Amino acid sequence: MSREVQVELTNMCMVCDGDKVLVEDRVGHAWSGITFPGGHVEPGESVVASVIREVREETGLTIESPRLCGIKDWMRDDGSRYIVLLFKAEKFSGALTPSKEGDVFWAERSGLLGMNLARSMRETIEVLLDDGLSELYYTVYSKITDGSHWVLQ
Amino acid sequence: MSREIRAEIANMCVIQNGTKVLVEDRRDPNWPGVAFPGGHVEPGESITGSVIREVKEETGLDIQKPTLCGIKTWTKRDGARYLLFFYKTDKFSGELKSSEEGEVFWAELDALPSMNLAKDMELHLRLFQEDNISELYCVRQEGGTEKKVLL
Repeated sequence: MSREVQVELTNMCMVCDGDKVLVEDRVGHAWSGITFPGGHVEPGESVVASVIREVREETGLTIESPRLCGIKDWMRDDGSRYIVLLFKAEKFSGALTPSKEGDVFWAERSGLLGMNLARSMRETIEVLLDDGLSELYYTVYSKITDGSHWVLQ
Repeated sequence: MSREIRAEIANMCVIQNGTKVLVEDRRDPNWPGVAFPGGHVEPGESITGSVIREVKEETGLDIQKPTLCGIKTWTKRDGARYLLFFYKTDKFSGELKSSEEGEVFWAELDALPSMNLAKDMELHLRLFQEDNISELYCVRQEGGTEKKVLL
């Protein structure tokens, strides 16, 4: 019996430099506002290689040893699962260079939640900052947490 | 453009109790030997929810606060991606009860290497224990051998 399902597999990375965090201001997209860099995992690449590639493409920085620290996922109407693999990186090199995705700049970690965050980024940031939270799973409307993952339903 | 791919999504969980971990002596002929409990993620459930469910089904234990500690990925022969999410926890309750998947019992972490481990378990152990390792990526080489990389 095949246990295969349809998945859209993506990544997102919180790049940190002391108290600062690298943000991307996505302008003119369907999902606009402040986010972290990221994108799709391509066939034939490891998920770690995919996040290193996406961050380099969108910011000009080459990150080292990104660490997987959470998942954001939800089921879509067509039955597929959208998965965002959440990473953190503290080591990087290169010069900050924006891409067509949007402007990239360093923001104070303490000021993050007050910025014009893209939809659902507030909870994503909470998962990334809290070592005890592993997953942000969306179903539909209200919100409960059991401490190990957020379930928005 | 749809960016959807075919994938198989599963989980595996290390339940720790001091220096001991819970292991399962698997009967599955596809992957036999001593391993950690786990299974597939069902459509409509969260991945964390699937870990809690699988552990309950295979061990009788209720676990709390499983935390993500890595992922094992490879591409199947049919081109689909296999995503195996690794979790760990030291919070559990209930009575140990084996399922038909295999006998479950507590083993000293140090004793594991000398047991009849399922394939790749030495690498799985590193993924669980080393915080700076996020992924175990397996690639088929020409000639049929497999390269396994810890990233």
